[in-house]
Order: sequence, then C-alpha cells, then structure tokens
Amino acid sequence: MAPASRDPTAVDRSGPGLFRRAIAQAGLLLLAAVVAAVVTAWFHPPPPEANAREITLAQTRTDFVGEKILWVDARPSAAFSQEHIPGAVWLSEEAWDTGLAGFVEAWTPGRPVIVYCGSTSCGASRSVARRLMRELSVTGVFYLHGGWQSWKEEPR
Amino acid sequence: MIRLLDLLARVILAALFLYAGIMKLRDPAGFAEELENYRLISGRVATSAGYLVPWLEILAAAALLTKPLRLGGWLASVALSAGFTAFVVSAWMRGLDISCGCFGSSDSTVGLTAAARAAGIFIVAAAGLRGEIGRQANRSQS
Repeated sequence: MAPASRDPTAVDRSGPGLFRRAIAQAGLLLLAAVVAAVVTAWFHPPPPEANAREITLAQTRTDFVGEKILWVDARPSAAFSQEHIPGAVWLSEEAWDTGLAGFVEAWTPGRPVIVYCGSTSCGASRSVARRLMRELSVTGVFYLHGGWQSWKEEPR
Repeated sequence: MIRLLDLLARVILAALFLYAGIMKLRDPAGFAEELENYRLISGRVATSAGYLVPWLEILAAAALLTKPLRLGGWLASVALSAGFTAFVVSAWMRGLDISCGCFGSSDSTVGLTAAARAAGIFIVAAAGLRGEIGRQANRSQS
C-alpha cells in the first residue's frame, strides 16, 4: 500500500507552524501600518525640521555679548517657584497654555531664547525649545546643556 | 475560565493599544520628539516611528479582536510591548528625566510605574500568544 501523502493545501497546525503563521500575520499588519503611516504623513507632513541647538553656559557668555537673553524655565512649577535663573519665565509642556502668556509678554523678535530644565538627564528643555520654534516660529532658540544644575554649579 | 481570561486580556489590551495609538496619532511630531528624547534613535528614525508606531498599535488592537488575525495581533502586541519596555527601562536605568510618551506626548515621566506597566503588558501579550498557539494546536488535534 502506498504511504498516505500529505495534503499540500492542509494548514500546518503544529506549534511551529502556528508561530510561522503568527509571523506572517504580524508582517501583514506591519505592511498595512507602513501604508497607513505613509498616507498619514502625506496628508499631515511632519513640520519642517526645527532643531534647537544645544548651548553650554560658557558659550552663552561669549555668543551673546550685549544681548539680553530670555531664559525659559521648563522645569515643574514647584521647582521654578523655589529658585530660577533671574529674569527667567516659566514655560513647561505640562502647562503650556498657562506659561505661554508670560513668554509672549517677555519675548521680542530677535532676542535669543535659552530653555533649561533640571539637568543633563531631562528632555523637557529640548521639547519646549522645539515647540517654540515649531508652533510660534520663534528663531534663535537654544537649550542649555546641563540645565539648572550647570547654572547652580557654575562658580560666580 | 481560560476562555474568559483570554477574552478579558484581549479586550483590555486592544483597548489600551487603541487608546495609545489614537493619542499618538493626534500628534505624531510630538510623539517623535518624545521618542528622540530617549536618545536611542536618530531624529529621522523617530519621525518615521512617530507615524508608524501609532498605526501598528491600532492595527494590533483590531487584529486582537478579529478571529482570523488573532495570532498576528498577539505577536504584534508582544513586539510592541517588548520595544516599549526596552525603551522605558533603558531610560529609567540611565536616569533620564523625560516624558514616557506611552500615551502620546506630555504624559507621565519614565520611572518604575511606566516600566512596570510596559513589562506587565509584555507579560500579558506573551502569555496570550502562547495560549492562542496552544489552543489552536489542540483544536486541530481534537
């Protein structure tokens, strides 16, 4: 008697077969996501690259001689209330609309803006700096390397 | 009982992914910035991921609730949650004080809560995938 041949149309329902099926289905989902992402980016393109530059405290002393820097504190409100760079305005992502009025009041076109957060490990200064450039088209925006910590540690 | 747990896990996970995906899709540029703040990927990759990840989450959620694509939905959930866990734990270990970006921009900061949440989702997704493969294999044998 001839051995029973395997039906080539049968679905492989073994563990590895099902796992391969899962990979194929996930691949299909990935492909669909790529198509959807491309369509979304087509209709809502990313904003023009608004890369705020990082600046050190030493550079602020040499690069802006005679200019009045507008310091923007992107730390939580409690930290700002406790202590901040003299003349700084508070603008954090958590309370963007609240802080924006103070920023708009203090800012004049052409005035350099330097955003700082707690320390090197925080990302808030970069986010706030980019948002200022992207949403308010503010130019000359920097974020301070080392943030508040570097300001505090600088010998005066 | 197992069936009920499976249904519950799928519905909760699908709801989480759907919510997270929609929140991120509302502001892909903001989400891309949150990703870049992790300092693991370049700005260009983050911009692409800002569009791709939300759609993957939404499609994974839909697949979890669809019988023919359930296996793929579980695997996509495992992959997504593994990626999120790796990002959050890495940032937490490096002591970064950044927003998690888990449910769109400007949400909770990375830390124990965010890491535990991401790891929890990964465990549920991995268990769900294993269970689904086991169930489908058993069904074919019986």
